Amino acid sequence: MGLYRVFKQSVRFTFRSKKRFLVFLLIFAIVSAFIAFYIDSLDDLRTDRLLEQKGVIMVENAPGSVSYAQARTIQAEIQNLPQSNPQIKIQDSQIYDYVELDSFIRLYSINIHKPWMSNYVKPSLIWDGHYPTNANEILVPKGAKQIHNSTVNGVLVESEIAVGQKFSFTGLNGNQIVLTVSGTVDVSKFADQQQGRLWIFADQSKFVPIMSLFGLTTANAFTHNISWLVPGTILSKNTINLVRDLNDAIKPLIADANNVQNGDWVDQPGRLPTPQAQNDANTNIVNLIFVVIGGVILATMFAYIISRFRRREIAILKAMGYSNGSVRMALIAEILTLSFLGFFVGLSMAQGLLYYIADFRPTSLLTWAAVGVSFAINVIISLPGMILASRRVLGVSPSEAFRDR
Amino acid sequence: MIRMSVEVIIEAQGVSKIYKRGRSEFVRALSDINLKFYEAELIVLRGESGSGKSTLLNILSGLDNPSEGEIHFMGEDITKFNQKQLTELRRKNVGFIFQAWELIDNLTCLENVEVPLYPSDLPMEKIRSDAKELLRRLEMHDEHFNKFPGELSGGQSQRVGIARALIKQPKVIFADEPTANLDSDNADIIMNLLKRISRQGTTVIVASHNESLQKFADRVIMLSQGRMA
Repeated sequence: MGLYRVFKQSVRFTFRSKKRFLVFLLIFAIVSAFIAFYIDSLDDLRTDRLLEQKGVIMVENAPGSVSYAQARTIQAEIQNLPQSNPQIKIQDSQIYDYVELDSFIRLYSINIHKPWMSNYVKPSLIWDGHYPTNANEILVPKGAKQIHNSTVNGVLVESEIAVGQKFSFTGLNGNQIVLTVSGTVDVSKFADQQQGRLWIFADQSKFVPIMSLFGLTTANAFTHNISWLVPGTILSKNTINLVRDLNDAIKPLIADANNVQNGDWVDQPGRLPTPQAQNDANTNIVNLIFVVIGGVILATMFAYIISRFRRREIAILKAMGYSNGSVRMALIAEILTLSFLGFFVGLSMAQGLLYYIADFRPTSLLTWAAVGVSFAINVIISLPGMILASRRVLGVSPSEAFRDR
Repeated sequence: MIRMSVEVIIEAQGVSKIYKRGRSEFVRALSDINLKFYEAELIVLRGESGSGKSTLLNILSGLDNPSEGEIHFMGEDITKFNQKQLTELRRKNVGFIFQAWELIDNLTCLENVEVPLYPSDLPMEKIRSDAKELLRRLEMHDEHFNKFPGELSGGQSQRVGIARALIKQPKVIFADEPTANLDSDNADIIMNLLKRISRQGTTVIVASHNESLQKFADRVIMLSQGRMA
């Protein structure tokens, strides 16, 4: 009870020394903001931008020319590459198909369980709402036109193009598929974007069932692109070399596919891990290391200052009968209060920075993983300071209270 | 003086203190001090600067150890105490009053008095009511309770310092030059308060170079060059 009261009162009293409080709060906040910001950028690299960093994407070159079946043949051929070249290992691949339901609606397939494998419809491009978390959720383009109760090829389409609204297809036989708009996506990256046509991005498990309602089959579908993921660490040079090797190995296959079959493919070498992306990632890591080291120095300096300049106060408390543990608790309470408050203020600053960089997109939120890792780093940063403060407390004699100032 | 029924609180037996100065020079700050301090008396340790009174105060209160001799505090030799026992002694039986009152700047007057009891198991309500009562007994008005040390006069600050020393109801209060920073009127008020406190059962040991404090003392112990004069 006693120690708890010392802790509680010390937390309260921390706010009283306004000047010191504000200066150190600001310092801790800035350090925390940069940590959260850099951790978040690394988290982006780990998930959302993964494919851009270590993948190969093959995109159809002439819209409507690469068939659903042909895409699967190409995928199988490339999947077999590792057998001929042991240096090239493919971790995963994913096909993204589309079909024209009519001249007004185009349906795209996505894989909601591998959001980062699509270079076009991925979480970082979500403008509003969230990436689908189940197969009954769909995405629509940002600013898409609204369709009300239209009949398309005999199928009644009832829709409200807004996040959270229902989107239902009712076929002639009465079968119905109801989907919910979970978010809107910025599709300005699509080279073949067509104005006036409503695009719907649904999980691949819904692709064939929806087509069936319209009396269509996979023979009517095309493939927009195929992505291959190369295993390895995003920042490793070896991964980059593997990606380049895979890209080189794919090129003759694309040529072969384009000549022999009726498809027209092009790889996307521009999307390989570029020196720029590599430099960005390396810079972020170096920045993070510097910020963490700076944070350790600042937190330790703060602990040094409060234990050095309050030496007399510590001596007085000890003369009153405070044990080393009680005095330590008082100092730790102050350090923790400032570092925790600084952390939360810093998070707000990092979030603000993130919004600013993402053109104030509503979904540009710090991830929980980034918040959690940043918090852990803040705790680790505070530790040397707390140890230093604890050691200094032991070195203060209560008799110092009687020494002349 | 006959003190048959009065309890000895502190007894110094053959206490000496030798400090090392530089590499090989030694300074004898106290030499063969033999003293007894009784319950409910006010003693003034008087001497010039460097006479050893602060050193003696530190040793009597367990803040420092003698080089030779023993200090018996309520019958126990505190020179053999470990740090934990000394902390316990200070927590339960000893109060200190400082020359420059040494209040904590960002705590109110009331909180400064409460501070010594924060690590205790007493309920906060009890600590607060005791602190208020003590301040009132020391003639501090309620409107001063929430003021910070910077807003108090010297005399008021020293009263807060006395209340802080008293809140633990110690057996002994050690006061190091408690009136040195006060004018003569306030010095008299503070000494009268200390006298009153001693009459209520607490032993008060005051170290001072000020001759005028002698009139408040039950006993005056003169120190000169580390020896009892």
